[in-house]
Amino acid sequence: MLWVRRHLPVILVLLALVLLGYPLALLFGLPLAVRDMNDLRKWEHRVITARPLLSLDTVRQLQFPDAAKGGLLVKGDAPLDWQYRVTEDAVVLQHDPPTPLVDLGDAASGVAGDLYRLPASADAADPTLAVYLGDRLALGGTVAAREVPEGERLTFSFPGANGPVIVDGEVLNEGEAYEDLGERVRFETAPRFGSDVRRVSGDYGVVNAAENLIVFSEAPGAQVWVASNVVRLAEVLEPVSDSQGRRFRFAAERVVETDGERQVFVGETALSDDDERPAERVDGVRQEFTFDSPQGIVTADGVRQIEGQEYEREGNLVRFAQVPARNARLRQYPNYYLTNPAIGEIELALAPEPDSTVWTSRYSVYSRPSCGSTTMECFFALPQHPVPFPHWIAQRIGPFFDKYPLTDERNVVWATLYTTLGTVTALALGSAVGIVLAYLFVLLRPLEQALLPWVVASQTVPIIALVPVLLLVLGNFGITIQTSLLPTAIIGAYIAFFPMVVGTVKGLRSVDPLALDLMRSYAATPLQVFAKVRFPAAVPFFFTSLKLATAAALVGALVAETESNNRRGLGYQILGQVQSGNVADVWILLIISALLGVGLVALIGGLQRLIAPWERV
Amino acid sequence: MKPALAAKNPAAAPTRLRIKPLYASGIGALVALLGLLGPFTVQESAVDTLGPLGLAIVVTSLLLAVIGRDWAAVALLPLGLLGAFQTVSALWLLRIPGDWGYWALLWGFLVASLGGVWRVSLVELPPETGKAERTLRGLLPPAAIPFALLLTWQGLVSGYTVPKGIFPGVLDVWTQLTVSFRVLLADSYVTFVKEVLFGFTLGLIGGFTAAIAIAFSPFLQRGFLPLAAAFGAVPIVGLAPVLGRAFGVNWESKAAVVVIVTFFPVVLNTVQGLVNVDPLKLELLRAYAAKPREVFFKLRLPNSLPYLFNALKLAAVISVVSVIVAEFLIPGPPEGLGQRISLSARRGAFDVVFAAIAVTSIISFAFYSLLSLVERWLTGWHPSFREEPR
Repeated sequence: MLWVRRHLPVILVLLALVLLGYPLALLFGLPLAVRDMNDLRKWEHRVITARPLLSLDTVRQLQFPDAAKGGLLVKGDAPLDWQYRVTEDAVVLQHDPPTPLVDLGDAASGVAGDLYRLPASADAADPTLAVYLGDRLALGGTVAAREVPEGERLTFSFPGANGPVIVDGEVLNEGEAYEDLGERVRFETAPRFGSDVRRVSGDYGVVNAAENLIVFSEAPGAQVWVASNVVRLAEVLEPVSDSQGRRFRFAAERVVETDGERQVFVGETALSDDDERPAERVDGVRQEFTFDSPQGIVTADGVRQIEGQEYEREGNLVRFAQVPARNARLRQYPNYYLTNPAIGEIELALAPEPDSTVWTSRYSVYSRPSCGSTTMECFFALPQHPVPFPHWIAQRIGPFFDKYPLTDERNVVWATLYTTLGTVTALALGSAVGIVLAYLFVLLRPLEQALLPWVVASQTVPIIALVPVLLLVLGNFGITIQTSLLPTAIIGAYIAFFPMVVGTVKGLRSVDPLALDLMRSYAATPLQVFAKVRFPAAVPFFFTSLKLATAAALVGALVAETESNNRRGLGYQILGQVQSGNVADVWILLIISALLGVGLVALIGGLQRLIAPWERV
Repeated sequence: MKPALAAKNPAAAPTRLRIKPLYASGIGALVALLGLLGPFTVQESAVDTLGPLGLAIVVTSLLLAVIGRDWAAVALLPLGLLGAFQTVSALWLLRIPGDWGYWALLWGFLVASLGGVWRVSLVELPPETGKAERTLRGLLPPAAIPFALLLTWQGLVSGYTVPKGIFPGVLDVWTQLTVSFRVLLADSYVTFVKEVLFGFTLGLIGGFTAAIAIAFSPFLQRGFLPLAAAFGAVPIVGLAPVLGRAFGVNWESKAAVVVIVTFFPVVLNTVQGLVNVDPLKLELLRAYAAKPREVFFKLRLPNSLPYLFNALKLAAVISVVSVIVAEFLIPGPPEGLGQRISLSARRGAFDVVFAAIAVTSIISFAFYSLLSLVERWLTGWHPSFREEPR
């Protein structure tokens, strides 16, 4: 209790600092989370396809998901010329359909349990795949785990999914490999770093696209069919009112710019979004460029150019009003150009015929940030927190120490010992040089006059910058950091010798002149003077500077270790954890280094009490 | 009695020094003379650059060493360095390994010069010497040392014909320094103005404010000071990458490193200065019924200034070294001296590395000296600046 009371201020301040870690973590983490949320490149894609027929048993009244949105009946990539009207919840045909609505292909074969293999004619990775259970459409879909599997994490959450769990193309058995906790799933063994962890959200999910394996959430009660040619309700692009009638909008916003999935049709003609490059080099002098097609939308460095203002066209010859800059990216989109992905607006190169429809069978949009739907979710999903929450660091301590067995030299205990050894060697070398120099300075005044300014100046040389050079030079003599502590010691000693010199000179000079006179009157030998007067006077200064030198030697040793590649020492560990992004582990190593420094200084203090018990420390 | 006393008067000591030849310089000059007879000088071009001049220097040095007066020692100092410089540059032009003649000349001249340095620093100037001359004499030895060191460096590199890619000579570094002066200047701007100065100012203001708060709160003194020492032990090696994550890879994160390495020494020292006040003075002020504000501004603050400047001088040096390390560990845009050093070292251009290090040292030494000047100006009243009693 007494100990606690005496150290209460330290404990309280420490506690306050630990608590300060939480606002700091938010302060540094939230901007990164906001950045992740707003960066469209970090969003998940969703493919919007023409909706396939929901149920096969109706004849004149076709059911589609979201039929109320309206659309265009198509089969394959061709609009159907049937007479129909779209009502609230269905498409009502005027006549009986002339052909079968759906060409059912081969049936899928069950592999094991709810696992099914699709016939070879189908492609599980195809977003337009339509699978029917008997005569009912099965909806497919999986949700990726919100958390990043970093090799240690056991619990993952899958918003909006509760089907089977798929890890790297394998379906796991519930109860054996994982435990279902509602929205979250707890694995028995952690999925390895970078594995693909997902969960089925619809009726079925693709397990392994290469082997055409799918898994159902519930046992399918009927035959599983893959439909090859389905009547679908496609999305009709809404015209945007402008004078030329060439602009249209997708129903969904945030259209993915470079999208292999997107297919736009005018009537029965498919329009590609391919672009053309000019035949000539953009050299900063040429003003006229030829493209393959005689029509199209021209862009320069991704900026749409307006015909009549920024360029004139004569067939496939485009003449710019101003010379395009050297190596500017000039492109011509002969069919259509996605002018505004944010609101999903495209512009056609040629205005469509008045009675034709502009429609799409599929396109991709950015659906949601892959880190989560709120800023806090994105904060927790950050792969690396600049400042982790303090309790995360505390949780990492155990696993961190167990990461390598005690026999492995990469274990933290060994690393700490190695760094301690390096520091002590550096300290020994540095203080030996420092004491010898200091004693010479005291003995020979001219030496001090000539050298002391340069001892001070030596510390302004960033020795750390010289570490690579030093390693190379020592390597020429066969001394490498792999086999010897010497490079570490030299670097540490270079920093550590300075406080030793200054402190010891001051100490040896701080002799009481009266004591010196007394010794002289006793006809003491120089050795006696040193042992009985100068040394005791220098002890407190000596130990003070030794403490400073210890901290310096530790820094030197750590820096030298970061430059080495012998997998030993705390410095190497810090750099390694930084490179692999384990910020919590870096913090643990930082705390260990700080404790090592404090411990070594305390050890010097103990030594001082042992050697010079007359000094009150 | 009186003449005898006069003879023992210490003021008469220089009289005895006059007849003392400079043995060290003499031996050096003799070795150099031996070197002139060696095979090195047989090379034709070497004779052109070194021969007559070298002989003149050797003979003059020998003469000066024998005379051994104060002024002779002062003259020997640059003369020896000049001889060594001539030797090194002659071999540098030839680009051949040095033979024994070369080594004898080099070491001989250096020893001759250092003998002069020794004597100059030993001489006790008579009390009537003017202040200017005294300062000049005081500056001579420390000024000679770097030249001797640089000549040794270049002499060794030239003598063993070490290739530039392994260890550059001084002349290579100098050439590189002049060639890439503009690049290095731009790097220095980023490193010192953007990173060091900004961070240093911030750390100083923050540290000083924190120190005042701590000095007035015994609770914080007991709670925070032991921890501050531990924080000082947190290695910048580990802290820099963490700060890089927090502040991005541009200059801001490196400025943050400087803030931290400045903050802790400033806090520790300033608190000491604010607290360790002479109790007698405190009692005096109390007897005059001084208000706490007056005690702070008239006693505590002035008392803390010397401590603060000690911390600042320390932090100035450490912050430059730390910012270089930080630039190593947070690879950002390729600007700044640390980045330059690290990138050049990786592609083996060690002359650029040394040029950048030289620039760093010069600016950091200038920073240190500037702070020393400000210290002298602001705290010149402090006992530590008093002239030592003679």
